[in-house]
Amino acid sequence: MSELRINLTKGISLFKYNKKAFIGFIIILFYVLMAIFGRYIVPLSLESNFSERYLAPSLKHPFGTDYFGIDIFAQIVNGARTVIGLSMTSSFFAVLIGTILGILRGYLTGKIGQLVDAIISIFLVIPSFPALLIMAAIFADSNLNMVQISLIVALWLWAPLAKQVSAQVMSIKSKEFIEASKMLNMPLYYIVFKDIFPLVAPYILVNFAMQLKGAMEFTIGLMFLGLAKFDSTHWGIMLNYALYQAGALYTPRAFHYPFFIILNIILLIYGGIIFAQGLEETFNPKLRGHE
Amino acid sequence: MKKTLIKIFVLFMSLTLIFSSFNFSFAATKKTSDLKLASDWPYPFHGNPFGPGAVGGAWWFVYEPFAYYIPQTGQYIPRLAEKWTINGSKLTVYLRKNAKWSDGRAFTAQDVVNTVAFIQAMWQWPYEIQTVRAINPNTVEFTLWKDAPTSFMHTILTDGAMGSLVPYHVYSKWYGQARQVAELGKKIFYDTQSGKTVSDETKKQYEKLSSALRDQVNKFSPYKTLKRMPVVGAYEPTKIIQSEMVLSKNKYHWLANKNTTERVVFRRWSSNEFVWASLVSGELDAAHPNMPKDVVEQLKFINPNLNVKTVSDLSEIALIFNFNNKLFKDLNLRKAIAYVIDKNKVKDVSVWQANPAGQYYTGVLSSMQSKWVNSATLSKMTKYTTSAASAENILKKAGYTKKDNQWYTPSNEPVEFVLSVYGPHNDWVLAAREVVQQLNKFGFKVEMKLIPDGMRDQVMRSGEYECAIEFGSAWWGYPHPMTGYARLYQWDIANITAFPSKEKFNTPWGEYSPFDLVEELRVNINNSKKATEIIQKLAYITNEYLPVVPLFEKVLPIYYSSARLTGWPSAQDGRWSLAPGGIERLYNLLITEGVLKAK
Amino acid sequence: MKFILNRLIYLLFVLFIAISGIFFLINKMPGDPAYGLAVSISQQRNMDINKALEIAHQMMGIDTGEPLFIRYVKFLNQFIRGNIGYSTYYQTTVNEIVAKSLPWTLLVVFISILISFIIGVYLGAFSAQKRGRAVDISISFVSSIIQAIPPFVLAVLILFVGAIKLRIIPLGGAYPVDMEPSLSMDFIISVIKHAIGPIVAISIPQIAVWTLAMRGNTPQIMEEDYIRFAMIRGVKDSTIARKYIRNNAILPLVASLAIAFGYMLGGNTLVESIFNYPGIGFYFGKAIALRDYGLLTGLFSLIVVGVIIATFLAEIIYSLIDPRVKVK
Repeated sequence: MSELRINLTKGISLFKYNKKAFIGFIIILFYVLMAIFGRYIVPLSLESNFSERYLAPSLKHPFGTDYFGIDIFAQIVNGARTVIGLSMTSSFFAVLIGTILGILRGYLTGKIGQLVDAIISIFLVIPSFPALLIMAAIFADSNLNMVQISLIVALWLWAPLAKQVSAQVMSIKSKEFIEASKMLNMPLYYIVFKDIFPLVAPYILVNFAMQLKGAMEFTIGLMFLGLAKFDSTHWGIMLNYALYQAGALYTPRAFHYPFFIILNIILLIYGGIIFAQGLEETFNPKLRGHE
Repeated sequence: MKKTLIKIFVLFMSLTLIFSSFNFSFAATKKTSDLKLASDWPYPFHGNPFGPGAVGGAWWFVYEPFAYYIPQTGQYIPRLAEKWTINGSKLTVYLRKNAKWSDGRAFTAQDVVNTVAFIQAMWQWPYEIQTVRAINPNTVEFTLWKDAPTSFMHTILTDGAMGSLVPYHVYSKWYGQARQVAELGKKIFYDTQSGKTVSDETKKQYEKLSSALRDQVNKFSPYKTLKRMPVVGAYEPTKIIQSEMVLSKNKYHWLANKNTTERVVFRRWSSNEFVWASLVSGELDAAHPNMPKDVVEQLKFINPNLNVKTVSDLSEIALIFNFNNKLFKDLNLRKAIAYVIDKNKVKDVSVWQANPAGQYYTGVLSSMQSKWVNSATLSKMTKYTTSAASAENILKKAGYTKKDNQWYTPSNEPVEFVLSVYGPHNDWVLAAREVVQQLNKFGFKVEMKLIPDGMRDQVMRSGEYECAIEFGSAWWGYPHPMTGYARLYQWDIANITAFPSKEKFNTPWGEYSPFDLVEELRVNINNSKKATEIIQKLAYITNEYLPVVPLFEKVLPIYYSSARLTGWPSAQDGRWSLAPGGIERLYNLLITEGVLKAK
Repeated sequence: MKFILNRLIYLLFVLFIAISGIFFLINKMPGDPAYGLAVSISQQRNMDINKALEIAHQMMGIDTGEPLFIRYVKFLNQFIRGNIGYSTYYQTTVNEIVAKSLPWTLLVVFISILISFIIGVYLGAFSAQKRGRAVDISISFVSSIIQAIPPFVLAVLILFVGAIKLRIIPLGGAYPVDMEPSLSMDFIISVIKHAIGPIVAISIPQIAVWTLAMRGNTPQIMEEDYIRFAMIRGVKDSTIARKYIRNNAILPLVASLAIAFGYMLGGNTLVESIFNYPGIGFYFGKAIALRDYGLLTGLFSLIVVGVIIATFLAEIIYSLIDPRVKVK
């Protein structure tokens, strides 16, 4: 059983055993670095030049130009900041809330447990995207900062995760080693953090990657609704321009325009997914046994 | 468990096989004598013009005005009226003798009287009509209220609601009530307008009567109770589902013999992409979505039968300012902004087919400018050619300074502001994005903010913006510069921007307040010499004092297909100009007169 | 039985809190429900917007003076009687609107869930069995990528390819207007043909979700004691894979079916508008834009009720197939 309790830092050394986790990590690292340093390396000029629209990829424009004649590559690099920033914070909060309430629900019994369960259920049954739209309308004029916006997004993202985590915890808590800890009168935080958390951690990581996708969709919606500050280089906004405003699907020579945007979105989320899968396989010996 | 799953799977596969063996063509719905369009309508459908969403896009097919007015030629085409005479404040309309409702009943003067009573009662409009009287079954006489602008004659003649909205034989049981409410409403209105106080008791009585009527009429659905909706227009809605609406020909219409189009079929306009897709695949005969340049080229390549005609939408998109904001009170800054903005670039990225704003911002739509503003006036005015240098000169003279590519006001505050734009209007967002970019490049610090869906009114009216993209001058209703100036100096724009339109402004002809000038113009609208003089002054004030900075004149791109139809007018034909404010009028005119028909 | 009753009371409590929350949230929204109407009045009749707004208020019969709490009590009172609200814009009950649109949404959502669940579970189990082999790697690779595609992109793509390029799916609507709804074969076929676009657009991402979930669940089941016992007893490998592992790995997924159902009810607004499909998504969009509080509250409550019923059913099914739940 002690084998299970590998903490996260030691896990990094397992990269050499797990290619998936390694590749995923590299992809995420790449985009995070892009978000931090990208704008100093690739300067952005948003000056439109209608006659240079839809230029094919070339050395000057690695991803070509968009409907406005602006370099797509520069926009992707500069937009990484909002994409990674807003979406990652949102999914971080969602995972945080989801994990805490999920573990609480799974571990606690009695009245408090039921109360937590009710809170989770309420957020589960309310359709999240329309609810978010309404929140956006309510807060549209209050000039929220990024953390506040992320919290609003997270508010409608955390519930499914909490539900799943609580199910996991419930199945774990009957295991022998937890019973043992209980019998040794270990304090609650010890049981939660040392016994339960490491077991659900990989599960949470997988969800973090999935939440990233949800958070990205939600933040695009919020930008169009005017809650989040409008940033035309956010990949979601770019994609929306490409498909709806510019109708790039109907224009064969504009193929590269939506293609490179979608490619980057997919790559980022895919990186997250396989990183999480890799970690899950590394930490969960049941999976390794079947490799 | 597995067995059931397999069963379901097999069922699903076999269903798929059945479908794939069917011929997936679109032949099922193709009828050669249909006109296929895209529009919107309320569903569940009620067929009541006072109900929510009225009849949607079917409006001009089911209701006929007394006449159509062609702005380009200034010509009236008689519809429900055979002719009319104007005598002072009296308008006498001679109704078409062979006009009939689609259930076979004759259309008479009583229907017109009934309609006016109903709209005055239900809409509190138009109180400009003081009385309406049936002289005989085929003649109606309208008397205008003493303070009504004479341009209202035009509204009576061309508004689709004026003649045939409310068939007397369907709505007669509420006629007495409607009449009562309308008369009382008019009395209150006239008294208030002439400065008399109206007693609370009268107001209360009005509220009581009108809400009693409204409750009954709003809920009435001819489509549900009569199973049909008798109309005087050429088409009656006969079958309505959420995604499609079918209008069938009214065989009693006076042009029914000339008209060879049996049905008008609407598709729900659910999204622009859907309309694009429908146009490409030949599912629509005409539509007017905004489309990017390359998409249009590609559409024509895939569907060579598509043609496009762009007509002015009789409105311009402009940058408007909140005059409660200290920054924008300074005319120098507004002038500098007018010089900085590259109108052509804005137009290119926003709506490529639009007419870019001209070099003069006279408040007269740029496509109509030569007709209304004379060259002598233009020579006195500032010419706004895009020039950063001119903008810099103005600012430097006024004491502005520039440090590190950022401008500072004479009181040494940075020139920074937020540009608000209504999110759901894609073309506005694109324009805003470009304007922000250009202003930032010049050295102002501008950020863009989107106004959420449904919030435009709230934000604009409460003045919670610094500057914004909005309709500037607009000639909706009565296509005349007066309408545009009234909007700028008396109505919406004056209200939301707080532009001091009652102040006097210096012009080469003396000092004038634009508010008073619009009043004067309204009185003298039929005196073309006097009207032109007033318009010169208003044009000068608008250009020199910049209540708004126009970006481009909106156009209506009409895509029409000649795949199944023949008879679309040539590009120069004046009838296209009938489209703004009711594109279905154009289609209705063309098919009822038998000009446009199936091949 | 007691278990079922307990759950029922509990879910009713959740329902009450959820719709109350929704009611107050929606009524906190800024904006004027009469604005849309006022704009069209002011343009049509060349009139000042403030005057038009006044008229619009009267036309729609909006009483802004009534206290929120009174409206809340009225709403609850009607809700209990099965009237989920009155639409200020459409001037009709939300029940009527729902009756005309919900069946289409349910059709698409049900078929999508069925298809995606079956295909997803099979693919996931298959993939788990072949863990580490080329088939497994490619299945999880493709599923991961599909999950990363934004759903509206997929819908636009399917519309473009299916309806314009290949012309194998009809454009828009649930059935052609020239057809009378009936139980005839022609009509049913036409309905299904029209639903294919939205179904495919919703199913593809869902298949990927179920595949990955099933693939992730399977190995944990393999470690359970009863599988070990079965192995010791010498049950055939293929039987273990089918009967024991697959059936047990499906169990937790059944529980998340209810959540998926709710997510799809509320989340396919965009897909419906891209395909011009006449479901409740259309009214959702309208209700938000027009600030039609009555309609919005009604639609929200309806979805909440739907999800709660689905959750309840899922729990009962779950307790029937998994005896361990009952014990608790």
